Amino acid sequence: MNDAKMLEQFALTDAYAPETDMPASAWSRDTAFSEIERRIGMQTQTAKTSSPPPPMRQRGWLIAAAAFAVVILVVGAVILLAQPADELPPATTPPTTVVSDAGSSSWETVVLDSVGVTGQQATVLVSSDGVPVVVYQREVASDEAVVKLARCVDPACSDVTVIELTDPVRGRLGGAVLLPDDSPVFLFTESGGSGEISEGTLVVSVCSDPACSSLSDHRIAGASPMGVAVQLDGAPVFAFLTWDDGPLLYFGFCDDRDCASHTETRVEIEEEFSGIGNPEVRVLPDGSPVLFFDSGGPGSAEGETRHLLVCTDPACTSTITSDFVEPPIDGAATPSDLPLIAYVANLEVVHLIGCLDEHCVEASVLDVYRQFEGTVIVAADAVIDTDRSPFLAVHTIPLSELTMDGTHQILAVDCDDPICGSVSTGILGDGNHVSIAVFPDGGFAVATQTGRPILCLEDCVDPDDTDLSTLTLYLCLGAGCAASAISDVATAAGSVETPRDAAIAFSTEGDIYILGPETTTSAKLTDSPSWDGAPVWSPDGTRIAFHSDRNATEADEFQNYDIYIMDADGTNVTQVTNDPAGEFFPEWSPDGTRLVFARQSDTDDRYLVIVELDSNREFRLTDQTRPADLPAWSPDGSSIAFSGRTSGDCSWEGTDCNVNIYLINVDGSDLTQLTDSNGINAFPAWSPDGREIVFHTTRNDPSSTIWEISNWDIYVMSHDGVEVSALTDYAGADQMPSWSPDGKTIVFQSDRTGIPRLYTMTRINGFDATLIAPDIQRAEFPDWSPIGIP
Amino acid sequence: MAGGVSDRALFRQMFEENYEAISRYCHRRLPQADANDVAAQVFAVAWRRADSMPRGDQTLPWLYGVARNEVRTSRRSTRRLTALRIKLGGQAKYPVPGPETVVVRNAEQELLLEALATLRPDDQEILRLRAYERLTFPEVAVALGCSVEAAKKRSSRAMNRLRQATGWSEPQGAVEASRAIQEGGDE
Repeated sequence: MNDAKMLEQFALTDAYAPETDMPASAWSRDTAFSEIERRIGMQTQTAKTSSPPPPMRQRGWLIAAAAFAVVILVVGAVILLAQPADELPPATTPPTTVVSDAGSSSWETVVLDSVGVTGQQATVLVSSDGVPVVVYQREVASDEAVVKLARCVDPACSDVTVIELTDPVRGRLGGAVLLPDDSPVFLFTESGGSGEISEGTLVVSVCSDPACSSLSDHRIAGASPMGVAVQLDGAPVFAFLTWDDGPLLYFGFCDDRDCASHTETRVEIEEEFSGIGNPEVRVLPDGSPVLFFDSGGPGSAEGETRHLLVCTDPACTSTITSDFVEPPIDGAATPSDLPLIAYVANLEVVHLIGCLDEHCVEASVLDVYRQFEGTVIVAADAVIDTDRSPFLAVHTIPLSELTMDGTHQILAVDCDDPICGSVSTGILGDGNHVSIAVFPDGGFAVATQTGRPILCLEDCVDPDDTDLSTLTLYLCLGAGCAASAISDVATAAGSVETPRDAAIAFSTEGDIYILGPETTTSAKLTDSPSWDGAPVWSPDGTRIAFHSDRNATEADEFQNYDIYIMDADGTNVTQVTNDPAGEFFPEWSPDGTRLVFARQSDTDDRYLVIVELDSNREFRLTDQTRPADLPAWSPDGSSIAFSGRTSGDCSWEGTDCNVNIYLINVDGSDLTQLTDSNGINAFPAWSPDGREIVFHTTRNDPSSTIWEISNWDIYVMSHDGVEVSALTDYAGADQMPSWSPDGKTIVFQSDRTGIPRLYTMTRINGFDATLIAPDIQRAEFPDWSPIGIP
Repeated sequence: MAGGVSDRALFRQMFEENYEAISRYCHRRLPQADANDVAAQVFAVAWRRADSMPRGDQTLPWLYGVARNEVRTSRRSTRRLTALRIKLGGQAKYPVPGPETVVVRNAEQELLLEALATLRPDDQEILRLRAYERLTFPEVAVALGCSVEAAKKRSSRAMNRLRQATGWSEPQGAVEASRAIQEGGDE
């Protein structure tokens, strides 16, 4: 048959030929286009000149500009979102650099203040001599706070001076900035009362010197802060709201450095906003102020919109407002001397909004970082690195921890280029609220509150207790502060170190890696479009067996996995099995001469097979009476533990799947059931001395179908199954345990940070889980080398 | 294209002109549950990469190239789900009927499809692009991001592999005919 005939025949097999109607299941054009619009989002500005404001709403309009209210809004929305998890927007996976390069710089954790409930609303600033300075507040009652200043003595913050700047006041800190002589300026509200604008007094406080020996206060009654910056003449400029039958927005220009008086200009805002949040004031190179703010907000009826209000001159005689409502302008980088801010849209996407020219006529919106599965994004702050690429600190909350007391987390998101075409991420550590500053010579300081929930709702008066919460700096100096170097933080914070000779093989996203010593580096061993997984070290540590679907096709639904062996450097790949059935989960015999694996054909349930590597001869170990999977060879070589189906239907939608761990001699005799529990008990791994078996189990999850199971814990039992105890008790998924060669540590996978990562736990620290390699996501099937680095 | 109102109108026009073809492309290659999602994603990507999108006759082949990548990504994610199921200890298969099983075919066509499944994914794709999307070689070259000459060679190689897999030998004289068809595809 010639080519034309074959193509003709082939074309006849087309179920969706152009001559036919569209597939019945296909979306209509309108449906598809709506979905496309949703995906490309409301991310482009349309610039328009402002016009007189329409009549405003009734009094009672909240001062959403007050950070407190914003936090309530966000937390409220977070909790709102947390209830029906299935209504969350589609989750996406953030781009991540898996192979980390620690570079020359490392991240350190520095606790600046730990007295009382402290560290809230922190703004970190870097003085002209490169020293971190943090303005923040300590909460002394549910509605009272003291504004404080923490001033490091050197760039590395080897010591810190902490002073209180105000008496306890009813109100909140509303932004801070450094004057050209490094003296801090900050805004706060006094007597905030019920939160309505007219009841508060805005105070502009200017320090006399960098150490803030004395303060000058300038008060504006009935006003609420919207942010502060510095004019070209060195005097502060600030934005504020007042109320006169509706909200009125002003810029206040201090007449001198100490702000003894000010001149104000009312700025007309076009729309009737139901709330204003996250205000940030910046100044353009010609002295014109700009204001970024949100209207609406997560959960609000009108949705959330980011606005940029640009003054056309330093006195702000006219303005241009921009609403970011259309798709993004890609490929535009904000110069380092122009305003750039991070903006979290709908708790799921971090955008960067930056000016592209010195008058900010054009602005760029970059879609930088998306919520990944199981988290919400609360806040973000951004700076431009010395290499001109943005660097962000992002405050996220794993949904599994979504309570007021939950473990919140600060991520670093490092744009690899000025337009954030790709990013690297790393976990800095715990934290609520986030502020970031860049050092003149490179490096970053990230300030956050750790150790306590965002809000002190009641009974926070315990002023002298320490460690209720802390003001914490995550600090990295120099040009090599990549997000991928952040695994250093865990070590600096005193966590349990992975043994230096650790070499953990694992797979993620279909490729196999080795995690190197101190877990700061990893090497990619396989790089193929196929799905390679479940790596296991040979007993002498020189080779790795794994399964792969590199010979699978769509026709077999990619089920034709085979077993392969490669050298520990990824070379010399040899195929061990080669048949139409699928072979999975190889395990070595202790003498390295045989492998045991699970096989599944179209007609049979999964069963175990032993293959002699020299002769390629196979022996079937289990029969169809007990579907078997996930074998583990005992260290003495005599028996094999495996997961076997006891009863029920173990397909995704099946119910009452009951899998237990069994033991069988290598000659197929003496099948013994070791566990007898409900749910799935699987993934056995022998301790090196052969006395114990660790495994994962769903016995604490009441779900009847595998789809619904969310709670996996790791248990350990004696080799005969008599003694059983839990090693983890976490509401999410702890899975796939593997022992270290000295038997002291267990590496496993957990989704405690919202996305599966590798953790270790040891007997010494009571099996507390320690995150290792935080920049590696979705790592699975960890297997510890028996001899360390090959 | 990304930007103002006029750009949006152009984008909508481009969408209207190409949506059906892209939707068909995705339905041919993916389970129904995934096809709509991937088709929408193709246009979302097109918006973001509008600067590199060729205009005119080359737009659709270029969109096929985007679609090819998105289909791959979708399949990979499906495979990952399968791998996850494997690790859970579940035993049953997770059958997803392939789109090509929908139509009734004669034995010859069935054999053709069976043989197609034995080819490498890249070879399968080039044959589908020619038979289903009915692309010329220059269009195949745009979709695959290769030269026209390379597209021809790859197509020829895929045809030969298909022929071997089906056991259908090429009759004497058909070489010329085949060559003529390939040349004709250049137009």
